[in-house]
Amino acid sequence: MNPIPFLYAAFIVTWVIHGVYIVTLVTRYRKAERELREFQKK
Amino acid sequence: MKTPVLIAVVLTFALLAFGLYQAFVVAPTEQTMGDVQRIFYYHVPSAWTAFLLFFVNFFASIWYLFRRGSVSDAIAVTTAEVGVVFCTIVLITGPIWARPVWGIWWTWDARLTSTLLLWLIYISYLILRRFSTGGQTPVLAAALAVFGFADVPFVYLSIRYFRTQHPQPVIGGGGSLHPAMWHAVLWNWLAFSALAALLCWFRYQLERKQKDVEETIALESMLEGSPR
Repeated sequence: MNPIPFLYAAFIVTWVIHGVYIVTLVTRYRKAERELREFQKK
Repeated sequence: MKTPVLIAVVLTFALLAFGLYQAFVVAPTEQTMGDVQRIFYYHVPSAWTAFLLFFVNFFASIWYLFRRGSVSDAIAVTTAEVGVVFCTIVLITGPIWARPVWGIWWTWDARLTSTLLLWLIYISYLILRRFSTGGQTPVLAAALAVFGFADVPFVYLSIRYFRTQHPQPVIGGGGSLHPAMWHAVLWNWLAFSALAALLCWFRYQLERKQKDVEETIALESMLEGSPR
């Protein structure tokens, strides 16, 4: 069994998980900011 | 983005790049496992970072149970969420490493099972925080976190007290690590700790913003409900 694809898979998975988490943080922050702005406008 | 945060982001990414260089270029190839052992430089620092975050969550939860401050509550939820991210990486990179080395993806030994249990405890903590609407939610979550943390030392000690498929611990496990491997693992731990601190800072800002939204909604519903 060639182990190299496993090595790359582990490193790629790590960065995909961190990337997805950062995107969810930014999305949630923008949503909260938008909601706050809408309430302040009312 | 403010300048100190921007500097922290640049420094963290520089550290992560240096950690990657240490793992792939500087660290020597392990004799029995070969290059696949380099997963170690992400797997182990991620586990240490997750433990550190759950440790902070434990103290923030105790602090909250005694003082009921919003800062300790925000720190607790922040560290639990970021800790779950790192624990997820541990649970995924572990089987990816195990498959070419052990010939299996997973085995129900004490280390692997207790790590999965740890992840499930903090996932249930986050589900409780997300879906429970009662005023007692932070108290219940803090109590869950305090008792849930008991699994962290169990995870760490499981490979000392049980016969497991998982290798012995890096620190105090009796084995020896090449100095260049030590440097690579410590640089990556430093880089992952910096990343964790940055993620916690962003998550903390989000928590504060969400609290502002909740307070605004509560204030608005009070004003709508009050007699004119």
